[in-house]
This record gives sequence, C-alpha cells and structure tokens, in this order.
Amino acid sequence: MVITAKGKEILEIAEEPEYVMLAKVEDLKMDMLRIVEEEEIKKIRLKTSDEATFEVEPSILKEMKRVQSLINTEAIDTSVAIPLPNITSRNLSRIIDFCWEHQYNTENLEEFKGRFLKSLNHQELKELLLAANYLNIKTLFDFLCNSFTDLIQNESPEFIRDFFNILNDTNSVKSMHAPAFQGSIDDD
Amino acid sequence: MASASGDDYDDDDAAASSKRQRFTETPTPPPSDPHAPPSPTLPFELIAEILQWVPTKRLLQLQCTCKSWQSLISDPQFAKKHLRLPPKPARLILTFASPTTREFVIRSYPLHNVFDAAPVGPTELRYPSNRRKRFDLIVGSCDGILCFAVNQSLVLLWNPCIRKFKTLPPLNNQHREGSYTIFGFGYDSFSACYKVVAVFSYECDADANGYKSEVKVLTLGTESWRVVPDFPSVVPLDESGKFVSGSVNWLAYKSSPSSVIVSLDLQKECFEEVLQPDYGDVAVLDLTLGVLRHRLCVIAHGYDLLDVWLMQDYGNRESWTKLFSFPFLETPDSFPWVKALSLSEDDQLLLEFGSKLVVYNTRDGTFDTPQIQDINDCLASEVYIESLISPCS
Repeated sequence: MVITAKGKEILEIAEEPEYVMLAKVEDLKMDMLRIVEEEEIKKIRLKTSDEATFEVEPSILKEMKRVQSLINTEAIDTSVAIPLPNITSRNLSRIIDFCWEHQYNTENLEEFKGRFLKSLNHQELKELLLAANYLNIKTLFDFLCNSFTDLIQNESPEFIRDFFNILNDTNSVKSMHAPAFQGSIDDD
Repeated sequence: MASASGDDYDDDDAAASSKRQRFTETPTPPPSDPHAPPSPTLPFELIAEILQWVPTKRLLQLQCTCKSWQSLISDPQFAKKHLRLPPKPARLILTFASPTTREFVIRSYPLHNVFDAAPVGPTELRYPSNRRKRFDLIVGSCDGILCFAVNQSLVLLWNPCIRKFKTLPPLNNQHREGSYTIFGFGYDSFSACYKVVAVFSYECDADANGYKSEVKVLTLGTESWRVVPDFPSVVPLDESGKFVSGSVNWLAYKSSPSSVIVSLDLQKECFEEVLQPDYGDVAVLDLTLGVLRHRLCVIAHGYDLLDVWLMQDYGNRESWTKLFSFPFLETPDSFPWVKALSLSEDDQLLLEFGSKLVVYNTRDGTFDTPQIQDINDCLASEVYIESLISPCS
C-alpha cells in the first residue's frame, strides 16, 4: 500500500493503518504527482519502533538534524530505511505534520499549533519532547518546552513532582517565595 | 448572545484563545493503543531545558520542588541561558519619597499595563537599606540588575527579583570643589562580564573647557577600580551613562560646536565620539540621550517640538532615523527634563516629562497619563526585566 499524505508517504504499515488517513484524496493525487516528478531521488525512508516505514521528503528531513547528520556523515544506503527505535509511527506522523506546517503554513501557523497541542495528552507531550530531542528538531523542541511552561504555570509543587516523576528530597518545608534578604548595605 | 463561559468555543475560537485554555480542556485519549506504555520520565537535562522557558518569578517558586531544581535555578550558567530565552517582559521601576514619612520607596509595575491605560497595581520592592531617608539615584539597568549610585563614591547593584545585591568598593576619588561623578552600567559580551563605569569630573582651569575628568571601570567579580585613560576634553553632562550595543554613552559639553556624544566601548575600553544625526533646519536648543528598543536615542529640543531620533545601527551615522516629533506638554518657560523610557510595539512612547510620566501616542498625537497611583511624585524611573542574574556571582 502506498499512501501519500502531505509531505510524507507511508509505504508499509504494520499497525495503525487508520492513522494515515489524513489528507483528502485530491491532495494525495496532487502530492504524489508533484513528488514523483520532482523529488523522488532525494527522499529518505525512516522506520519507526512499530515497524512502519515513512518516506520523507528533503525539506522535512532538513529539520531533523540527527537524520541529516546520519545521511551526511555515514553515507548510508538510502535504499534501506533508517531505523528510529525510539519513535512510534504515531509520533513520527505528528512530527512530520508539525515540520510541514512550520515550513509551509504561513497564514494559520498559530492556529495549527493550538490544534496540535490540544490533540496531545500529558504522556504524548512527553513522548514527543523526547522524540524531538532525539531527532534534534529545534522548532518542535522549543515549541514543546514552551508548552510545558504553560502547563505547569499554576500547578502545585505536588502536581509538578508527580508530573515529572520527582522525589521530594527537600528536608524543610520551604515557602513558595524567594528567600529574604540577608543583611543590607548598612550592615558592617 | 454568546455566553462568556469557555464551553462553547468551536475549534477556531479555541485555537485563538490562550494557551492556558487549551490545556484546561481534557486531552483526548489516544484513539487506539489500549496497551499504552507508562508515562515516560523525562531526563533531568530535558527538564532543565523546559525550565529555561519558565518565567523568572515562577522559577523562584519552583525552587522548592526538589534539591536538584533548587541548585539548577541558582546556577549562574542556568541564569545566563534563562536570560536568553524567551523575551522577558519589561517592568517599570519608580522611586518615591513617601509623602507622609519622607522615606525612600521603590515600586515596580508591569510595563505592558502602563501602556494599556489600565489601572496598575504596584509591587513594593524592599530596597536593601535600613536607612530609609535616602534618595539614591538609578544609574541604569542591564539584564535585570539595577545599578544605583548611593553617593559620589558608592555604587549598589541589585537584582530585586532574586533579592540579591552587592555594594561595590568605594571609588575614593578626592573630593574637590564642584566635583561630581557620573556612573554607567553595562555588559561586555566579549569577556562576559558586567562593568560599572565612573566618570569623575572636577574644575580645572588648565583645561580648555574648564573641567577635567578621570574615568574608572570596575569589572563585576573583581574588587578594584581600574583607571581608563584618555577621556576626551569635554564636560560630561548626563545624569548617567546610557548602555547600548556594548558601549556606555554620555552627552557632554564641548565649547564648539556644543554637545557631543562620548562613548566608552566596554570591550576595548577606549573612548570615541558618536556622531549625531543631521538635525536639518531645526534649531536644536537642548539634547537628551536615551535608549529605546535597545538602540541609542536622541531627543532634540526645538522651539516648539521635540524630535525623537534612533540610531538603528550603532556607530553608523547614516543609520540615524527620525521617528517622530511631538509638542511640549505645556508651554515651557525652561526646558523640561525629558527621559525616554520605552517605545511599545504599537508605537506608544513612555516618557518622563518634567515631573510627570506620560504616554505619547505617536499615531494620533495624543498624550495620556498612565493610571499609576502617586505617579506624579516619582523621583526617578527606569525600565528593567526580571532575571535570575546575580550581581554577586
């Protein structure tokens, strides 16, 4: 099965075939024609942890600095898919969507980002941050970091410890305020 | 009539609403994958990356989360990274003499509220001094550190956000008849150090302008003032040096033509003259130096208008751009004290004008008074940001 979504082609899908139904049929045809004509040679295949293979076009690959450096330094055989053992097909699909929108959506990018965030639960947000860090995609990484900031803005220390899986090792119960002055300029 | 609750957003509205609202909605569970793995634990390096994006005040609260967060947030290297991203919202700081007790009072306000013309509640800051009847001068601010001149010899650096301060060693210049000291404060990115500059001027008949100046620089982290030679033969006029693009700038008087801008490059530690704009036909009666949008700004006082000039590319005379002109608030008997504090994104200019703070709307030419209590009693004003940078490290 070959399905082209905007900016990506998914050749073989072991699981979750329903997830690739992202684009309208007309868009798919147009994309396929354009990609076949112009960019077939430069595309690279990526294989996710759940054995799905994505064919990704150069403009998207450019964002993935880790994959870029693999291609540049190791002269890998592009007929073999590059394995990404830490990334699921669901997340890679999201990542490709994000990179695509970030490059080509000049008018409604903020709107897209809002929808993108809304579709993620806490666990997925963390998985994506790990994936963005692994693939070294700065735009997505910064966007997600900033989103975590909003998420923890008004939460209690207990929530934050729980959220980040942190043990409370502070001995004393400290106030949630900055420390008071120690002395002043008049003290000798 | 649409209700004011957040329940009836359609997708577009929700996307346009704040990020906060996005998160308050229950996230949709993954449509498939019933055997979801447990939520991953983020490594500490990634948490540190996330924390760099958290606003300063919030970070200080988060110190109590655990020991590793506490040491991260107080780490000077982290403070530097945190300063770089994202942009920190600016605050306005005002100093007052309390009308009842005559004590020194310092308050700060979110700058965007000052422009919004909404009533602004102050945050009272505790100045690190127990002697309350003092009126220390604000020299300037850089990366969240405020610099105060306590007197002609003593300088205080203070980050009110993290409540850390440092008094610098005294200058010990020999006090003379008519002597005065003008300070400047800035950052030298080449040596990654903050520097305080002191221009000490005194009467000297031997000099063509009747005054002589000696300049000393202290690099934060060291304990001594170093002499920087070759200050030009001019009489420095400003209340304080203005820090722009790695240089501290002063307005100075020279017998001919009249006023000059003298700068000290904080990296090379050498003086230069910054060439002024071509004021055209305007008969310039007085000049004020300032900083707007991180650029050097000159306000040229004509007979009935004030022209605001910005040097877009520091050091390049051709890059002076006249932004706009504005009239005097009242007919001046003498030239009022004018200080340009901030220029908002929608081109509103916050000014200290005489003894008042005003917002001049450059688009429709109107003046507004910010809704800040006691606004007209303020002694001094400055704009700063909230950072984790400690003057003690």
